[in-house]
Amino acid sequence: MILSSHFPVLIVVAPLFAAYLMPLCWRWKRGLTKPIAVTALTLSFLMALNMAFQVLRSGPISYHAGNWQPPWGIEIYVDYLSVYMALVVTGVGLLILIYSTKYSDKMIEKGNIAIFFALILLLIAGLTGMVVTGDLFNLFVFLEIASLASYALVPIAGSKGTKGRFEASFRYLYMGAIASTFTLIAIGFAYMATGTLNMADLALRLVEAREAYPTLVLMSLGFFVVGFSLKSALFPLHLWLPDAYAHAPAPVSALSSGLTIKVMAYVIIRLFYSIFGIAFVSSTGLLSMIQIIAALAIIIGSLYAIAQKDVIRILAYSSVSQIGYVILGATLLSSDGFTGGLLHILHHSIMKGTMILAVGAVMYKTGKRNIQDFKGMGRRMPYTMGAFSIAALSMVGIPPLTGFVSKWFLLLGTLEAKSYAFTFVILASSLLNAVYYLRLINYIHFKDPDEGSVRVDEAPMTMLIPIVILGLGAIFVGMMANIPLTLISKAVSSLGL
Amino acid sequence: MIYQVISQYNYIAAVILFFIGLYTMISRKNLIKKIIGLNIMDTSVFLFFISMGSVEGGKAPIIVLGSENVIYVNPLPQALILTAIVVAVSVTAFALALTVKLYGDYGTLDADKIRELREEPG
Repeated sequence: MILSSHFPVLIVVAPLFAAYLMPLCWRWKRGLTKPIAVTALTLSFLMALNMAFQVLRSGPISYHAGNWQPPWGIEIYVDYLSVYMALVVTGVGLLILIYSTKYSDKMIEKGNIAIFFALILLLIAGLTGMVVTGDLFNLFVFLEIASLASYALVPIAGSKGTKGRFEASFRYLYMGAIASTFTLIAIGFAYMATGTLNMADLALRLVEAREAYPTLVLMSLGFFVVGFSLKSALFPLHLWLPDAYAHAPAPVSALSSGLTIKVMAYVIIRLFYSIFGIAFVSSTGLLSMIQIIAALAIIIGSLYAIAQKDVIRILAYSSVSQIGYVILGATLLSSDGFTGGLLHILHHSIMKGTMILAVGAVMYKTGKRNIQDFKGMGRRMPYTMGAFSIAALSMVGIPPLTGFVSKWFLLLGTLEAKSYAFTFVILASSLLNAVYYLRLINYIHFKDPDEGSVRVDEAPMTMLIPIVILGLGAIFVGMMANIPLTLISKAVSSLGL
Repeated sequence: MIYQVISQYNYIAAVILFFIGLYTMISRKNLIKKIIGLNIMDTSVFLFFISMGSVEGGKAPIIVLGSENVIYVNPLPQALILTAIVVAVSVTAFALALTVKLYGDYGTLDADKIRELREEPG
């Protein structure tokens, strides 16, 4: 009982502490490294589950770090939306980590394995911190922990990686550093206008500050939006993403696509709804601009994906398109649309996680990932490719699969908001998704493998189980959408829609 | 009006430094120069934060017995900037490490040449 009151901070501390143990363990008792990593993240996931029940039973939890009262001390504030995001991050993160324990043996240079796990844990700790914190500067610190870890994870495969890995990492760092600086400036403007960094306090004081210092508040909002659009790879600021995915090891791409860019989108939602106030954001005209950008992201991301030959790049451009759904849903100003956007965070991380991990399993076996090399893979790796195909169909939005449910809510949202252009965008994008995903399924299941291609069998068990669990998730999470919806509907109503 | 603008010269310097840094990052081909640009941009933000907390004639916020009616500067932005400096140093260190690796692989620091070399088959 006493311990459970500290869960809001322990959920971040567990992976953070384990991250620093990784290199030590690697020197001392090599066999312990991976079990410790998995245990730490399992603990985090269980704590997130426990907090979800606590929040559902007795409302949002406010934790004061070091017993300093807010607004002076750092407050950790876990509400419905935070705990939902924490569950997604730790849950999907745990499955990806289990997958990596086997993947790293063959695909990561031996000397880098300890650092690889340390960085994955740091990334997840940073992301969890970002979703639970109630302090703006604390958010920046966790953002930098997560960002630095993800820059360093791109070239981690060492001599077993691709040739362009350092360049991809440098480009990612270059874009990310600009985004971080913008975020810091935005925090500066917000502090100048209000004199506080606590999110709840900030929201209260911004009401007055909007009258007193309108320029400062607008500047702050502008810098925040540009910074986090860059970080969440919202079109046209997505240029770092395809290269970073193509050169990173598969679990890293899965983490980045499934979790990192989603948490960045969460921050945009948090800024709009909890801090600046959605009515104010809407009155500046920014909201309708972002709606159009998100719609463009949905269409253009899909168009780019159709033109790619490398399967990882297809999935990367598809992520650019899918982040558009989340942002569009959050900015439609309709409760159904918002529900759809939030559901899509969970659904997309399950579906994209399945697909990237399945492609990773093929790379593990054959070392290839061109669309031509996937010919006839369905017969050689039936379970992996079965999960991949289910996730792909789900992404297209075939009912009753998972992707259909969030798209349905988004469609209802566009109708409720009377934005019929966006209804058309979502329907058209499903068609575009079908073009490239059905082409992949056609290659995988209905074409004969080339003569003389490598004969391979199913992926090892440790990698197969996370893929199959996520693949089953792509079927059943949508059917049981009422479970995440208990949290999401409360989150939506508590944020004022 | 002009006096007001000039008296805020620290903010003006921060803005000028910010754009020098951003322009250097975007326009230079040399990776080291890009990193220098990043650092100039970061420094401008530090200057901006410190200016924000400063009070004319303010002292360091250390309370000594009997020191009443003393004006202190706001220590919070300084504490934030200490953290931000650490972050900027780690980003720079990692960027420089990547540059070393890139130089080892391609034998050049020119971003365009690296791209050409990478796209060559084989």
